[in-house]
Amino acid sequence: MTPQAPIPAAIAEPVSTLTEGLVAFEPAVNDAGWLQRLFFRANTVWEPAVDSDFLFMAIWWFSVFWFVVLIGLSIFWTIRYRRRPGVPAPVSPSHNTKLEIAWTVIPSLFLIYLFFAGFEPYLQKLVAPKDALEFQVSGQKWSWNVVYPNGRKPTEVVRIGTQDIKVVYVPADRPTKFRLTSSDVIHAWWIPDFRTKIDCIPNRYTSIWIEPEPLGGKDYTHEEGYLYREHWVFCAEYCGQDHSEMAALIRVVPYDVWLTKIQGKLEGEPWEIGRQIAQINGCFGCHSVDGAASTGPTWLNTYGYPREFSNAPAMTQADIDGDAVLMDNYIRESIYVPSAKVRQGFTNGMTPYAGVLSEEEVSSITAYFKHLSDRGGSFEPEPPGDDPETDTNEQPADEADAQPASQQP
Amino acid sequence: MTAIDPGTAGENKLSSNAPGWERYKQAEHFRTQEDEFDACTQGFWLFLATEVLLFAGLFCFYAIYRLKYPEAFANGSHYLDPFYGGLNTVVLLVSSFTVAMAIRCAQINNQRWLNINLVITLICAFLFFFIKLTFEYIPKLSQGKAPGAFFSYPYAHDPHEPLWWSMYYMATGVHALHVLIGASLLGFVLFRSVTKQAYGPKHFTLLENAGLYWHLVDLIWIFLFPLLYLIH
Amino acid sequence: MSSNHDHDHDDGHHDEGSYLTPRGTLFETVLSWVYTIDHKKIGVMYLTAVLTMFFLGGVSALAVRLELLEPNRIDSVLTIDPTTGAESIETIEKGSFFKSIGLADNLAEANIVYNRAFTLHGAIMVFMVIVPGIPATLGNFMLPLMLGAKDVAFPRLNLLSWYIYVFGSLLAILVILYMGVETGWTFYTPYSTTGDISQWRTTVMVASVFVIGFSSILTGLNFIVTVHKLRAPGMGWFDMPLFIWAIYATSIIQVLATPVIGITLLLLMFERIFHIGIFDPGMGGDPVLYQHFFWFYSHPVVYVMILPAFGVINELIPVHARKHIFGYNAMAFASLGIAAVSFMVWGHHMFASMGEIAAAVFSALTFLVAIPTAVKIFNWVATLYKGSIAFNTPMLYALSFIFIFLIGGLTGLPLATLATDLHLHDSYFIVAHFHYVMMGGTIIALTGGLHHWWPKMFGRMYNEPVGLLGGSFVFIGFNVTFFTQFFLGTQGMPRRYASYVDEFQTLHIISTVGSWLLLIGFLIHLFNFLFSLVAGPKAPPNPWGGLSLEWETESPPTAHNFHHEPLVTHGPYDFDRVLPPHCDPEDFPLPDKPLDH
Repeated sequence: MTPQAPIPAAIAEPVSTLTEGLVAFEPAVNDAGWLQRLFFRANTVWEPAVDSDFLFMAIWWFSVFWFVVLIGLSIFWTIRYRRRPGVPAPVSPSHNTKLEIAWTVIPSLFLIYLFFAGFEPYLQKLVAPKDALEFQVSGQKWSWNVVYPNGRKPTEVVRIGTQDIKVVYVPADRPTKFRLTSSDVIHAWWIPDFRTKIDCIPNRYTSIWIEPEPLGGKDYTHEEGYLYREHWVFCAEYCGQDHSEMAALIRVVPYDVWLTKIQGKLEGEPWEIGRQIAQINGCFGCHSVDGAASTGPTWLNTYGYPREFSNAPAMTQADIDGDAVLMDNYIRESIYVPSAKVRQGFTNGMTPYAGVLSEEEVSSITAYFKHLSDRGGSFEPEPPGDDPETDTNEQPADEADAQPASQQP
Repeated sequence: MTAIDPGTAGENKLSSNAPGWERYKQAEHFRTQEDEFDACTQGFWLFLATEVLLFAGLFCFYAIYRLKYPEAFANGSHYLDPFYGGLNTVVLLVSSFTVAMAIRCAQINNQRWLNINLVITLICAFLFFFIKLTFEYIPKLSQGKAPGAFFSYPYAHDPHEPLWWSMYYMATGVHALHVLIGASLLGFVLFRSVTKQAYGPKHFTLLENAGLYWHLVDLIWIFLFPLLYLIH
Repeated sequence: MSSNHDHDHDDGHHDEGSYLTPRGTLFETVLSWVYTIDHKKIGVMYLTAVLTMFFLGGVSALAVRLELLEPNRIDSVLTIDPTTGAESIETIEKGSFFKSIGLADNLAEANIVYNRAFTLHGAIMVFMVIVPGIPATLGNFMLPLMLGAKDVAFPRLNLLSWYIYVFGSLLAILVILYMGVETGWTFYTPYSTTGDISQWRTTVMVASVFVIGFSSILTGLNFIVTVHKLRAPGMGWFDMPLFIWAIYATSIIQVLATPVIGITLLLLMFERIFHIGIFDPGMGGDPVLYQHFFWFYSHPVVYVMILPAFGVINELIPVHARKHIFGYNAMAFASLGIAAVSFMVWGHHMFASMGEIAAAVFSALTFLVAIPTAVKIFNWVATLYKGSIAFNTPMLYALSFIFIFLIGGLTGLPLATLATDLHLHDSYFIVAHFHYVMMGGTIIALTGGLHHWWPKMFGRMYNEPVGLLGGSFVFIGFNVTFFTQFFLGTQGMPRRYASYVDEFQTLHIISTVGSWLLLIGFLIHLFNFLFSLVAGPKAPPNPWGGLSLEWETESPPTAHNFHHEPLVTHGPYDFDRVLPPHCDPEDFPLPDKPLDH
């Protein structure tokens, strides 16, 4: 049930210094039958989810009944009335109005029940109580931008498969409402353990809510002493290249712990803060920091280096030398309006981060760019073997530049 | 393989001087000429149903966006001149009349007026395009009243006016395409009528269907005209 | 019916041979196919084209399943150089089939290749295989024969439909294979109208689907008129075989629904080319509106896919069970009822993005579809009662169909129920459900129908044991592949994922192995059919003892279908009182006292 082995400590730079503890998936309440566990793996005691699971199992047994009757009769009659040479089929009527009405009406009654039984939990799943804590969530290719009720943002990520995904802290035993929108295409916010999902549509709000049960029982104990529980969030509406990596992790913690977790403080040098912001916002899904080819251009040795664009005049060394903030402007523009200057050899697939990253955050990322360039001023060579970043920093700059363009599809 | 072609291969070669419509013989999988005419007309009505549904989709879009942005649509219709819209309505109505007369002429075997009526219809089609382009599309586009992202009219009253122009150009453009198709069809009918006297009392299937199509084009305009020009 | 029925039409056709008989040189024979307006040849041409598309779509499905065998991950390996002792850390991207065969350099590219592969699979299977699958192949071939007509009403239009279909399909395949389309077969906005906006690929793809739509409209229109105008003398509406009813209901849906997708796709193309803003939220447009219009077509099209399958099963079961179909009228009206309701349920594709009231209305309407569908299944099972059931490949497929379609239909219930759908929407549950309905429905029925009518179409028998073996592989492989996906869905696996979290891997492995069994099954059928064409025993005119009109002519039929226009004197399912044409009474004995129907 553990999604993956921990990443070796040496590799954890720069991706998982922020990870605390292991991801584990044992539900707190697991008193459902084996069949229900086979269907749903984890069970919650959130009432709308319990109701909809009950309905699902009711449909299941209804279906099993009719399936066994109909398939049983088919097989039995196929054997019983198999063709024998020279023997005609026995005579029997070719319709029976009473029987036909009966088998039309009786299952229909169950359908009417299902319709009404299905409507109430559906409304319960969608309409949050008025005192719910409101989280703002915006889908973006290919990560979730979450804002806590206090206006701060998540600061932790975990590595799942190939991607860093955000850890969203949610308090136990309190209703939490997610107000959702999208900044590019349609996404969908699916929390399988709570049996609920809703589409995230650009230029419009939708919402769902959950209420995790109190912690205890089989829940995990964090090394800092508090109990916690974890739930996946998946993007369920197809959104392109990294659709399958567009996940988030909901970590349910006690309310007092939650209050400290949502402070959203980052610590370290300015460039370290920039790196964490970039990591949290999923920048490394498309940009490498070691010169390796990826969907977008590498960040290594970008600051202070001349660049050529497919849709704008080139930025020459003379330009850079003649304008002290030219690079800063270039980086800010590329974050807020990625289509303005598209690097030669790349196509623009990036969603604008305007409205997602604040000016302060962009400033921190610029500091990280400076750190990643030997023309940036704060470039510090580190001992080899300690950090993969450092190894690749030693590559010649022009080679790192030439690589992505040639490897583009 | 013997081709089953209602126009050419089925013709009776014995009396080559007789007009086309008299020599016509139905395709061999039909029992009678009436059966073939019924089948063709039924098929064509079905085809007209698909055309109506195509425009129904457009009208749905119109209704939804009109409900969403009533001010933009009310503003938008003020930019259109009902005079030219009305003129085009008259032109199309006249052409519908002449097509109906052409079919009648075929039924009473008046070949001369059959052709004249068709020619008038085609002139009307040309007039329709002339008015549409000279007095509507070209002046509006040159002012920047273009659809969607190309909208650059500086005095717009409502931020959603580009959507109105998208609807306008989509609806009238798709309609204009149908006028073009209908005119081509009628041109083909005229050509066959002039060269072969292909349509007469016993056989006028294609003429009838081309006429039906032309009426549909007219009918759609009858809906488009008030929706776009008259409702504010 | 027509009173001036004239036998003179048929004179001179007695020695013409079958429609398959080559005429003149090889070049002339090829020309006689390319320019043919014979519905039988067009049916065979459609069959060839559809099976080619099925092969392409199947290959991409297998590729998709192989990619999902393992989740993608990045492993880090510490290596120590033995000579220098220097330590270095290497990252290895693992788990991608596309990367391992060289189609992608890294995992990000592998995701793109995966997206292209499932788009190829979805678009081909839906627009080019399942929609024309039965009506344009078996329907084209059998409809005039079963009606006792010489051809469809508009033979040249029929040929035109085929050319439009082939042109559109080639365009779509070229654009997917050379440029790659990643929108999925549904072209949801704004994903389909942003991103690659400077490129032509998605626009061309949409255009090709638009073009194929015309082929669908023209075929449907042709069949409706044919049913109305070209029934043989003596055949009233309720004397028609139920296959005809199914094709008729299908054609109505095709004619009424396709224009709406036409205008929607046209607007999508204009949105991409001229950026008209109708689907662009930035300009005030509504991207969800696209979904409404798309599903207003694409939900009825689900019934374009399944109704002809019902029709095929309606023929297979009575003929091979030698039993009058149970509840003929209920069956005919169920077909029409499904066609009518199908236009009112499109909203259930958007339960996760629409208002509560609208969702309630669509949920209620969706349950309505279940009723006529259930009636059909009850009737099929009841038809088996007191039959004389031959267990051959068509019967195996008919039973497989009931089994699979029953699961497909019943798993529709939790999807129509609002509370459970909110969980299952866009998950693997829905993937499994629509494969049970669409592939398990349409493709199973097509394969069964192909075995049933193969002797009639090509004049050769196929090998029965080999057919049964292939059918068993398909049945088992299908269930292994797709039944597991129900559990994947309920456990939380979203659809259209190129990779997944580790806990889903076991079920994905089972599903992938199932896809190989399916492949084996279809390959067995392919070889069986090819062998039959080359060396199969010659088929008698009526090998199964069928009563509908197609069994009255030779196998394969003559170029003009019948030597004399048939006169209908009995119903298509009166097995208890009519001796089948061209059959030995000892093989198909009649009961002493027939029941009055």
